[in-house]
Amino acid sequence: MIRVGVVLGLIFICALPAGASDEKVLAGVAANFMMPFQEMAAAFEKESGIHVESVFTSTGKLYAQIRNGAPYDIFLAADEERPELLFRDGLSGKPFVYAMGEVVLWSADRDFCARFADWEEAVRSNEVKRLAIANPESAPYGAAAVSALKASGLFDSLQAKYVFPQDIGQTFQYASTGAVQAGFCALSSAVTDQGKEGCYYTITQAPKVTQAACVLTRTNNREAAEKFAAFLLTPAGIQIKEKYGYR
Amino acid sequence: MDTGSILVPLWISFKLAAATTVMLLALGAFLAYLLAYRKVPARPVVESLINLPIALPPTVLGFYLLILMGPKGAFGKAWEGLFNSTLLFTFTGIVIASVFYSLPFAVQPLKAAFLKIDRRILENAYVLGLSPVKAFFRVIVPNSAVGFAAAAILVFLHTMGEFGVILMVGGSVPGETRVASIAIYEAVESLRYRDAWVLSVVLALVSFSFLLVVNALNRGEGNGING
Amino acid sequence: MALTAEIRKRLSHFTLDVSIACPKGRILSIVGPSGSGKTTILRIIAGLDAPDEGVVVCGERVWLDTGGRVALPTQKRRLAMVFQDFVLFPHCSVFKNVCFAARDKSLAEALMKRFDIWHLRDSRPQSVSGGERQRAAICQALAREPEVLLMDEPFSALDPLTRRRLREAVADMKGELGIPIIHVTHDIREALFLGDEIVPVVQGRVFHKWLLQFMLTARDADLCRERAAMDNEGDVELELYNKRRGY
Repeated sequence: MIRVGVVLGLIFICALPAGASDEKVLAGVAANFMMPFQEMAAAFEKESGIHVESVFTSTGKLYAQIRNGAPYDIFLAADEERPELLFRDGLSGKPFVYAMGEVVLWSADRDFCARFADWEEAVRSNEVKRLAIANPESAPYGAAAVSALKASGLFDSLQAKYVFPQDIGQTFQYASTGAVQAGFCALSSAVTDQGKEGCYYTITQAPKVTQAACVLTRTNNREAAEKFAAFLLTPAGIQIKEKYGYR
Repeated sequence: MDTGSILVPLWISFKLAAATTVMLLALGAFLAYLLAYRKVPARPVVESLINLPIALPPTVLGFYLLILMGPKGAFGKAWEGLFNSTLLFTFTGIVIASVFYSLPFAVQPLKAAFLKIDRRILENAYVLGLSPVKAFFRVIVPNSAVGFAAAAILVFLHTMGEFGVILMVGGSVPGETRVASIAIYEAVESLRYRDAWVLSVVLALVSFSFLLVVNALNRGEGNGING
Repeated sequence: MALTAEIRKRLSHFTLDVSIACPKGRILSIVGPSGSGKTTILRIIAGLDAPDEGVVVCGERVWLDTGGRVALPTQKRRLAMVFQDFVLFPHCSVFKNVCFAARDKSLAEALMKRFDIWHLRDSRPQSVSGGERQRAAICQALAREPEVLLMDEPFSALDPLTRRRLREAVADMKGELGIPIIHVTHDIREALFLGDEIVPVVQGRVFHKWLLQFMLTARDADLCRERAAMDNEGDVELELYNKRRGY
């Protein structure tokens, strides 16, 4: 009798869900949003008890993964285009803007910004031998930088200086290691502790980078994902992202 | 589909692989010779250093090379002093990076081939009056052709497929350091899937044909060597 | 142009300590059991090994003098060596092998004709017989026009008939070659046949008594007869041995 009880008990325990599947969200997040996201995820967990797991990589990679069935619940892109494409093909819910980013010209040399009047003069100067732009075809921050360069009529004349790291993170790495004299980085990188050891110019001609997010259709944790999506736009969420230079 | 964006990266990959192979056959033969025939001080250390690129993830190797070859690094500064131009983000820069990356793939097969040669043949060569250099070219090289072929194949293919290191050190400059593997990656990232597909297939075909050709040469040579 | 060598070297089980001298046009046979250091003597004369102390002089040239810090590298000593295992280059034809260090291709051809291997000139070493390979090795050595010829058990790996033929060929040549020939073997008959002077080396030292024990066995009569059948200046040595035996 006791043996039967023990066996039944074990079966019962095994049948219990190991942390109910509703209590978890897997997010695919554009690399530039890593720091604010980590803070938001922590705050959200404390508030709701829902655990947030995340993968940080380039928007293009995340998009390709999602198209091929990656099990993300929510997608935070660095552009609007890719969430829109997913929505059109029925792979996600309606996208919404969760942050506005800004591209700046950042250099690891703290005195860099004192030497030129503005970013245009800086990139034109002989001192800047190499200029890092995140690949504009796949990185929205790079695309914004290219827009600004074209708007100033500088894009063609500076061709010899460009190097194209794959994403905004690598751009910052190039600039911070001194491999390039300056790079078009995200404002959010420039306001980090490491970013503050250098300096940056604002780029008025650059369009703001509109970052959109969407909840994916094939999620198993729809309720939790939508709760998190809502959290992004609450005052608590907004406060966190503004700390990192987003609006 | 722009043939320029397909042919140009393939051509750069091919050039890179060819240049790296030529340089590594020379450098690899030199190092393999020392390891096979000479007393090397702190041999375990030297061998481990040579094999390091196999153990390190490409991004780590790429990162170290980025620092070393950058304007503030030892290599970068020396280069700039000598040639008044930067090393990073140039074709020369990625050739140098590739040489590091594939070094063990050249040294190992060559060392093994050299060690297989009967020492007495070498001694006979010395007795007959050949200097070590002449003996190397007239005796060692012809009797280790298999090793050279293996090293050449390995290095060529390894370089064709290289990605992480070249990405870091090369900066994907179109027409200069944007090799086929990077072009494929970028095509995927920018949703140009057809371009990615075409590039991948061509890259695979080129590598495969190269393998076939070298294997055929190798088999033909093999009949007369090391009886 | 005589060759003299005084050698002292600590080996794993004993110390090698010998002193030999071979005038030109004569053959000196070093004979002894395996492992007694005979090959090491040849290698030191060739410069492939180094002694702890030693002097090697060829004619008027000092090849090695550990005291005076003179050590001519192997390639600068004008000598040639015939090994036990016919060390020909596998990647060359027989003719190319013989010509390898020859100044004069016609000399190589003449030698090959004399040793009856000219018809094999385009074959690879791997495809000819052991006796033919050894003949080629001898041609290769002689084509170099060396000042000293060293032979390390050159006929041990051959069948008795070939062995006899080659021994006779070498014995015939020694006058016209006019160089010191130092020959190492473990075969007493071969030493008696070829050697104008015989140096028995046992455990690293010259040990004439060792040879005497062979002189006292039943084979002696044959050996003496063979020795007497030869026409060379070595008969004086035979007298000496006969005397020692008490004949």
